[in-house]
Amino acid sequence: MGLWNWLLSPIGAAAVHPQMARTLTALQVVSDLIVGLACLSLFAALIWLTRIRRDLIERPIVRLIGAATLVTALSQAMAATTPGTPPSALESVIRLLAMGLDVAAVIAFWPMVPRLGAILSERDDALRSLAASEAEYRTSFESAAVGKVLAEPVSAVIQRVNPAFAHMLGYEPEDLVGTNAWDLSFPEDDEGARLAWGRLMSGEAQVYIREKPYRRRDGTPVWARISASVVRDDQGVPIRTYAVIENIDERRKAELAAREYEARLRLAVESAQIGVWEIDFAKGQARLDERASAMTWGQVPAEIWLPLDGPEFAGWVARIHPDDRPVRDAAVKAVREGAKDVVQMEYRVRRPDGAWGWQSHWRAIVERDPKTDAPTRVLGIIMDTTQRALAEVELRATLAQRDLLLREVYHRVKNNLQIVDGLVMMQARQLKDPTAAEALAGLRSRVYALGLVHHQLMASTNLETFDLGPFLQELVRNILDGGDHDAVSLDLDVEPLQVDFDFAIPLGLLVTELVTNALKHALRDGRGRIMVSCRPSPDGRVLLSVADDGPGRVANDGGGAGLGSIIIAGLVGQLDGEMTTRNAPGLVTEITLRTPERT
Amino acid sequence: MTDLDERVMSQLEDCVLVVEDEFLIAASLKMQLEDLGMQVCGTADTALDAIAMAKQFRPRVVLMDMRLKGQGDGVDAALAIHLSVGSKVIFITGSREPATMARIQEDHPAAVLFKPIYGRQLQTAIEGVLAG
Repeated sequence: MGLWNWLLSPIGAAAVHPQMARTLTALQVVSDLIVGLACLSLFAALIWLTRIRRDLIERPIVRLIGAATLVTALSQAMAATTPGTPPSALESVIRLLAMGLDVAAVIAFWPMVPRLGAILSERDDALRSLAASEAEYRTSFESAAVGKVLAEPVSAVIQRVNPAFAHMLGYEPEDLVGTNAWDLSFPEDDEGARLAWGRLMSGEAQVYIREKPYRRRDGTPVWARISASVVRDDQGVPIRTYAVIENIDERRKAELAAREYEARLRLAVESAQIGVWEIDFAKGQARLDERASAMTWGQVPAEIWLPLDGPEFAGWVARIHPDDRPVRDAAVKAVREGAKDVVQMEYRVRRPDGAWGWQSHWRAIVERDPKTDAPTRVLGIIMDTTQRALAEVELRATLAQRDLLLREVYHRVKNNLQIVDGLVMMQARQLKDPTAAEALAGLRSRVYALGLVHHQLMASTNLETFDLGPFLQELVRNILDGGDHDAVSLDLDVEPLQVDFDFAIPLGLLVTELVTNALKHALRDGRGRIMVSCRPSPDGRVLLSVADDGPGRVANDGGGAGLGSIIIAGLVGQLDGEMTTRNAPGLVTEITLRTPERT
Repeated sequence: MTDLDERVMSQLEDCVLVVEDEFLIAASLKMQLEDLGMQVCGTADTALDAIAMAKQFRPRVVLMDMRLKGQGDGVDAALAIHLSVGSKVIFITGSREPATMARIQEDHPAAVLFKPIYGRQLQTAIEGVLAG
């Protein structure tokens, strides 16, 4: 009997080789037991797997596999306990049951296999994309322009910050890890912030949003807007807080500046009692604020958009003084057509009591159509200037009164000088001595010079200065008329020069003396020529020149003892002047004087 | 000269009436006129006196101050004298204000002199008036 017979003998190996019977039986028992245990362990493994991933295999299939495994194990156990004997009827039934359950379990399980494969590959994909999103998140965290902070909840100890946040405070990111976020703010701000933080931790609030100053490394504040949210676990316990912190320092400064500007503007508007209003040309409407409306005495109601061509505004325009309307209309038109950005007009308005009030009115274009450049919005302010206008009228009246009084004074001075002149003349008539009479005639011409100054002042518009030309013309003409000088001609060359009292009096007296001297000494026979000129000198002063065409003579230059000499020397000094004389061939007297500066 | 002017003028006396409320000025004017060889028929210091004296003396020339005592000014008196007597009126004024000048022009004055007045000015003015 060969090996083949032994392996395939239908009566069993033990029958062929009785010496091997025990070994074969033991092998059968052990293998049945091990197969049964293996079945049980596979089942246990399957149960464990389905407990952690309930969605992997459906529960009925698990139960079916469990039942198949148990029954198969039982059948194996029974086979193992009765080695070498033919199976009992019970054992056969159990084997049949095991076979049926196994077949059913396999049929139920196999369709699950592709699904398990899909789940596993999904998981691989998920892990890969998780890694990618983690990298993305890290990049967005690190390189964000806004500050980002991860912190432990409740304690607010910082776990991670990005450079934007650290640099905002003058630190590097690693300086801040492990520090408490509260140490970076100012204690004064803490109370409200901690309350809000507490609400976020308790879940009462979903986000924590706050604008507050942080403390830089150098101790200076920097304003930031923080928005924090919290990540919680399944039980709702906070596990991490995540905050975005935006630097709003510049914005805040700009806001503060804008607020200050607005406050200043409001102060100006309030203190000046300015009414404000606006026109919207697109709508064809305008709206007045309370004060502007009050300045129309309610003709145009406040804070309502009203059509520009409506009865309210028409009624208002009707109140404007007819004489002032053309100027106003031109200004309004200039803005309406965009020809001028800002216009100002002042007009009279009929008040409810019938009197005229004054109003000043500004309009400025604040918005133009981007395509056509036509004005679309105009802002206007309106001010009641009645008080100012009345004050101006009053001031003008006061000035007119002052002018009147001043003219009256000049008039009286002149009148008194006329009286003095009359007295001197009457005295002169009684004198027989020609020298004395001549002296009094000289006195009269000096008095005349004084009176003439007052006369010129009285006729001048500002009552303070007058032009030198007509004054000298009249002065010299009067001296010539005063004596027997019909054949003496006068050459007058005076450039326009405004002079005041303090300059005109000494100058007039000087000219009087010099002309009188010329008539007395050079033109004794009552014929000849006198030349008077007054013009700016090259050195910026005033050059007065009095000359005659007589035979020439030794000048009366102040060195003499006569009254005329004394007066000339004194007045030249008074006007900071310098006098030179020469014969060319008649005597030429030139005096350089200070300019008639008004003091 | 019209016939009427001729007739009126012919009836006037060769004298001057001085109307001036300031005595010293009036006195000095009178002396100046006398120095010029003219006869002064009187001096008046109010508009009413001036009119009365003009009617009484019928002077050829009246020297008329603008400001006078009492009611009326020089222009009032001048208008009345011009109408009733026909004398030539030379105004004397201390003022050159437009209002005063306009007032004087109402009477179409023969001449206007401004204070202070010198002998020669007065002489020129009077000679001009008598010639014209």
